[in-house]
Amino acid sequence: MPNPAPKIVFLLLMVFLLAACSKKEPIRIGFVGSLTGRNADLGVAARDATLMVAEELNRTGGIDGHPVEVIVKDDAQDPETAVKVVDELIRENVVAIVGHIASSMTMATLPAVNRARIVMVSPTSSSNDLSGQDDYFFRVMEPNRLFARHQAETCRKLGIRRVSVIYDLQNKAYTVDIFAAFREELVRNGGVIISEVSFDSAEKPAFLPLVRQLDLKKSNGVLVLGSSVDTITIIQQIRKADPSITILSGACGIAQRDLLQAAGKTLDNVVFTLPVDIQCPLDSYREFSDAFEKRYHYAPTMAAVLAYDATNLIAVALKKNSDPGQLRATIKGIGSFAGVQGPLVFDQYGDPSRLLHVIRYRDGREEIIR
Amino acid sequence: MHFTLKRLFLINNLLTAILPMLIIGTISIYVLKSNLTAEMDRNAAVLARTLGGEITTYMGEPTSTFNVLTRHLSLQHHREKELSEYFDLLVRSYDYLDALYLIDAAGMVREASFNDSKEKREDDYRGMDFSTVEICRRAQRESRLQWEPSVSFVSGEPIVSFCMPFLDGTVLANIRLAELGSIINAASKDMFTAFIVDKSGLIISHPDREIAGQKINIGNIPLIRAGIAGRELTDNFVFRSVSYRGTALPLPAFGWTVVVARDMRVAMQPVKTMLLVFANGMLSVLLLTFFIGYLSTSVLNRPFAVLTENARKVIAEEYDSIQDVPSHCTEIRILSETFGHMAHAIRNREELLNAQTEELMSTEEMLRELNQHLEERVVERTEKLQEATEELQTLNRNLVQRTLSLEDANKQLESFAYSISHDLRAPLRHIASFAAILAAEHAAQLDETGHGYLQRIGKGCSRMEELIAAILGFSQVARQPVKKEKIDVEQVIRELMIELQDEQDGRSVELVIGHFPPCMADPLLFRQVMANLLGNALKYTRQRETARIEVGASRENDEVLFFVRDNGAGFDMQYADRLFGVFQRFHRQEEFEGTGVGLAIVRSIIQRHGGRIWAESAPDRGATFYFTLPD
Repeated sequence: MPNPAPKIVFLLLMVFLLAACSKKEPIRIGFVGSLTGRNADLGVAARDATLMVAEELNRTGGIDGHPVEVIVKDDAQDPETAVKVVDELIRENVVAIVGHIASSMTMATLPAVNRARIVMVSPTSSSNDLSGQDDYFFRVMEPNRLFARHQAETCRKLGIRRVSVIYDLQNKAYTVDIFAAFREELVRNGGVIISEVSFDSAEKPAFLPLVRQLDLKKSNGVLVLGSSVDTITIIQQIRKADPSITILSGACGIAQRDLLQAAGKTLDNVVFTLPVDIQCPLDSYREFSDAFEKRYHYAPTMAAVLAYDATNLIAVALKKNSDPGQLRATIKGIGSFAGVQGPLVFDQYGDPSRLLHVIRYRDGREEIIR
Repeated sequence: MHFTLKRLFLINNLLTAILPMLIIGTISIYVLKSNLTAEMDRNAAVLARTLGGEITTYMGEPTSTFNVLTRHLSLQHHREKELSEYFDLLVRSYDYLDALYLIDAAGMVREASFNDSKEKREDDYRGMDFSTVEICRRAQRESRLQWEPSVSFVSGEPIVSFCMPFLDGTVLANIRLAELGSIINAASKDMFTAFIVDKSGLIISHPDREIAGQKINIGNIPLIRAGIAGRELTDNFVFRSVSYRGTALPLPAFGWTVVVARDMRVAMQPVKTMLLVFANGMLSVLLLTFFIGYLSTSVLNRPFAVLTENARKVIAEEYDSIQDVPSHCTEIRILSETFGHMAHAIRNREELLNAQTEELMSTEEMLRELNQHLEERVVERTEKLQEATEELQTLNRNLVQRTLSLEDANKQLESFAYSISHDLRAPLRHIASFAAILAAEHAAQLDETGHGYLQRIGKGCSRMEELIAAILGFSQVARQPVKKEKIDVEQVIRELMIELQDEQDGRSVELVIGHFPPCMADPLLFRQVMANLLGNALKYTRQRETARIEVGASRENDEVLFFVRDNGAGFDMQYADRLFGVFQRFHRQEEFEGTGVGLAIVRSIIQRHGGRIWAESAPDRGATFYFTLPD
């Protein structure tokens, strides 16, 4: 006959314990990106989009009934800090990491991420050095080579053969990478690099003297590779010397559209090559864009769109197979994924192919160059 | 459900100890929690209001400074160099100023000064095109002070941009919100954290510089939404996986909301401590209860063990080794004494029982013997019975065999009767014919005596003829197959009475026909039976003044019993067994003519239907014929 006394004691203890542990364990997803400082615009937008995915998932019951929790870390655009905070994320048992924003940060933490066998999906890291590796790194934006090729192609279309370049050394993995590929492609098309100037944005340099070092008289185009704030300031300096020269900028330059008002009329004849289409007519994008603006009171930027795709890629994979140990294989098995601006197709190394969009400002308005 | 006394005591102790503690504990914790929450809600509200006042005062200063500045600038004409120095002086005098810009009518930056001494970008900014900066355009358009939260180009931190029309251009000043942080920091002590969100839900000032710098939008939290909507509210919320309880106070002048929040983990520490004390108390009570329970059951267990041992001894009939039960407990002593008495009583009864048992055993032995004898007799009788049964079976077999041979003989006899009567007819007709010829053609040659003899020969022949016909009829009945059908008896009787009309002429006949249950029979043969019986009845009542004939039937078990009754001559019952024989006659031919075959035919038909026939009568008292037909 079972003894009822321990049962009763057990039941009494359960009354206390039950209140404490009735919820399902949350699924933790890490976010890491640059959130502070002057170049935080990309990171903030990406984080906001990542949090929005979690909020949307939690409104509809999470993943398999588990709520989704995003643990946000700031890499402060500093490799040491990046390694430290990624290590914190790994110790906090995240199932996957959305990040980094800058390629140089990704390069710094990828060895640790691969060792920990945690999937990292970057919204915007585009370094060529991250391509073609069968590791735990995935991304939803094309490698730099494609951007560089597009920019060289734009130069060819616009008849620009003599180009000067000014670039930031803070995110070499992006700027130097893209510059090298651009130079190669430009030269192949019969163009030349007239002058080049680099700077370190961490040292807050004055841009007017730097721009003066560029030989704008001999050039008919300038390529600016830097953060949004710096790009706008540099454009303003270029316009002081040459009000009409064609200026080419990468995706980073237009990361935060609110800032563009600080560019004034100098924005005229500036050409941006973007991985997202801000005028995308798809319903999925309209819905996302409206929801994002309602939630954060600003229009979604490139980084937001890409981070939304990156986080959703993780969520879709986890819904397919909730075992984090299998996440890498699950994502690899997905092949094609419904991005907010249309389907994304991944190669065997987890690199996507996405359409690029080239826009030029004229009289304060955007026009698309096809 | 079974449990030991020990467990019962334990459960009892546990329940009496723990239940009140549990109830008191739960109530105290609930009261403590609600008091604590109410107290802190009050404090938070007071703090939020104080903070709101301070922020308003703080934000008032740059506004007035700004007004003074623009007035000063507009009163004096400055040269470029003087202006630059004046701007630098201003920016460095006021910590909260992040940057100061002078913008001309075309929207171009004429002068820029930054608070950061490391910042060397004044030259960059001079001549920059700010013509599309929205706040400057608005200030110029509306000719009055404008302000809005923004992000510093210099530091990337949240700022509030103030823009004032000046001459035909504008002055743009960025106010650092980090300075607002000192007010916030001063308010964020003990368990309270104060922070400010703007009208989009963005945290623009927070004691944690990291949070303040990361442009975190928490506009999705209901508490913040209420604040943005202009409502003061106290509510729980979760921020970065930590639970807080916060009070939101809207500052309508700026569109901001001041939030005073407290970490629930810290705020509810007293409740936690109370819970810990309570849990420890519970644990101690539990241990104590177990210990006391163990002790008291041990005290109880010894006497019970002795009692159990004593009971075992009673079972084993070891009455002399029963021990005293050691206990100070009165109940147990009484129990022990009663047990002693019981053991004694059991012993006495056992002895009595033993004596009775012996007696019973001898009786049983006797009965057993008797029983044995009875069994032997039963066997013997059974054997005899079996022998008798076997004998009976043998007899029965013989009987069946004899019946079969009798039936066979009967059939041969019937066959013989048929052929013999058939064969006898021809010579008889010869005799009759020759006698008739002799009487007609040779009448003259015969005297009266001869005629008389011829007449006798003729009569004899007729009689012979009748008898042969009767025998033929009889044997035909025996050979004819029986085909049973449903019979309408009343109809048959009525038809027969019409056919027998001759016999009734000039007579008074009273016919009583009863009710007939449905019955099955061969219609021709049944008609024959009825014709013979009715014919007899009419014949033997001839001498009655009024003949009374009654026909009826009734259902008896599984057969129908018919009767035909008359008030005729009757017969002596001592000849009853001959009544249905062939050629058996109880009356002279002159009295009642007949062949003596009619009743034999009736019996034969009834028997062939599986029925029985018999009669009751007395001379001159009428007769009743009964017969049965099975279903």
